[in-house]
Amino acid sequence: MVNRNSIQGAVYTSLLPAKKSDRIYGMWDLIFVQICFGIAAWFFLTGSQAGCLLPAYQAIPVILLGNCTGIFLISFLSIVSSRYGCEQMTVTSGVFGQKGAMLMLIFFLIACYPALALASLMFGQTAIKFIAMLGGLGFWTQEGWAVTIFALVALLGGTYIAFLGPTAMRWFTRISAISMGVILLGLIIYLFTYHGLASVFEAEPSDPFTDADMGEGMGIRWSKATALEANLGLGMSWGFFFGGWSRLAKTESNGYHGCQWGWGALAVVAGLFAAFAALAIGKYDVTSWFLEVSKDTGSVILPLAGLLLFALANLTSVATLVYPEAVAVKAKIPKIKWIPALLISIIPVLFMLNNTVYYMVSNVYAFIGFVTGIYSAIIVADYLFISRGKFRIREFFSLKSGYQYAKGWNPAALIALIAGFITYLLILNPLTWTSVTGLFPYTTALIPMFFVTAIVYTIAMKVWIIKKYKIPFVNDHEIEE
Amino acid sequence: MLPVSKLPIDVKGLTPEMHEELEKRVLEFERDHEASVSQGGEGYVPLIRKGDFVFAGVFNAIIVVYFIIAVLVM
Repeated sequence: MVNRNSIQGAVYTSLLPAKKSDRIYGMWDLIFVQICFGIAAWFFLTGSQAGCLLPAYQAIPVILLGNCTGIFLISFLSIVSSRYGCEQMTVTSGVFGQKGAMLMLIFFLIACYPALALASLMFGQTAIKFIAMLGGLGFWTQEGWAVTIFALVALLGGTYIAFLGPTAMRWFTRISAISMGVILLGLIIYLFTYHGLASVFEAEPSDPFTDADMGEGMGIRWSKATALEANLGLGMSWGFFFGGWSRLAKTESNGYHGCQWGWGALAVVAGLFAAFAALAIGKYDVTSWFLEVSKDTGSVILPLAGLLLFALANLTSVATLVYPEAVAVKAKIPKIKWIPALLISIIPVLFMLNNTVYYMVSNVYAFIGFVTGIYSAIIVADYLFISRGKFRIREFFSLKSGYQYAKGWNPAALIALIAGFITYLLILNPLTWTSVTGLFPYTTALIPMFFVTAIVYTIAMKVWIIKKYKIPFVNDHEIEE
Repeated sequence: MLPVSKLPIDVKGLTPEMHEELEKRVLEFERDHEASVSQGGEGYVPLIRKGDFVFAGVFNAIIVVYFIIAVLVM
């Protein structure tokens, strides 16, 4: 007799397709879950950076465009997983081929590592500020190794929460959401009480690019393009996460809207108020705001409580990234045990727990957007112009015979991938933040990369792959009776 | 390429029970939904509608216009 609990567990951890009766999320359920999942370190840091680069009247549209329109471009990713009840990496094999999907699993992990490092380092920053406020001195209150050590604690702690599984995750996510909500509310009250909206809108950004450094009239261009690139990167960073949630949506519309608004228009409120706080306080480091709050209000207890909640929220952010990573590894390679899957999800992060990474949010999110955007562009182009979301479910699970294309790889996807890489790198090097062609800061790198990748994939499929290979329900209409 | 009925489900690392359940679910989908899906119809759950895309598109068009006015023009 089949153990129903293990079957239910396998449905929720992505091994089995989720049938209609397994679906648990309506649109509002998903929106709420995604706000909890989405409002975290990343929104505070990218928002804060926008506030350090641009005045409020420009930071607002940049944050909205980056996060809302960035996610809108890739929102089609939710649909196929809802239709088949299969998670993202499983349906990816229909587009990239079975071996290509393994490559995309590596892309997914690579995209998660720097985000994990940021959340862990933010915990480290929070910890040293907490100790400083308690009157501590010396090593444990200074940036450097102390931040790294605390970040390591967060990484291991978050991984342990992920190890405990979905029930523990659910509780921590709820606590984290409440914590972030309280911090956000406190921040809003503080901003309105001690600074006022007018002063936020009159404030000059504290750390913009300058004409002296970038050339006549170029400082503002670099500031705008940098803030937009980081926020677009965050908007597109959700690409690998859609399927894990939308496969449990009760309708395709629920999955589409739940993810898009939860991670986009609603969670972005955190980014907007982070930008306002950065403008009012004049500092990028989100955790240092608590010290300013303490100075302005004369209270130690409130900022201490805020730091504690912030640390907890960052710990949960780590867990909420490690868990889907490990689930994706398990779903694609079921023979891997849970602990090795968790270790694969975090070990490279150990090499990124350097305090300087904390101040490289543009580079981090440009890189994540770069990796995720290329993948998303191909999946979106396939949905809109090639498959229209029609796949043969058996081929997803027939690893040696289904969706093989050329020995397990779809050449069109690989060519588009290379075209996307070249396009991005010609416009912007996300690590050195320089432009070999000089096109950045006149354009972002992510948007042209997205469209070039999608166009190259569509053309390669139509003129070559569809004519050469049988693709279910595109040029092969055999149905299993 | 093998005929559809000959495509084996060969996901490694599944317990026999899990493999059986996966096979059962795939067969159920093929029986109840595959014909519909292959014609652009619904799978396990109701299809997304054009209105969903229009709503999201209009919302984002407003943001794009706001961005152009506030960031590119001013």
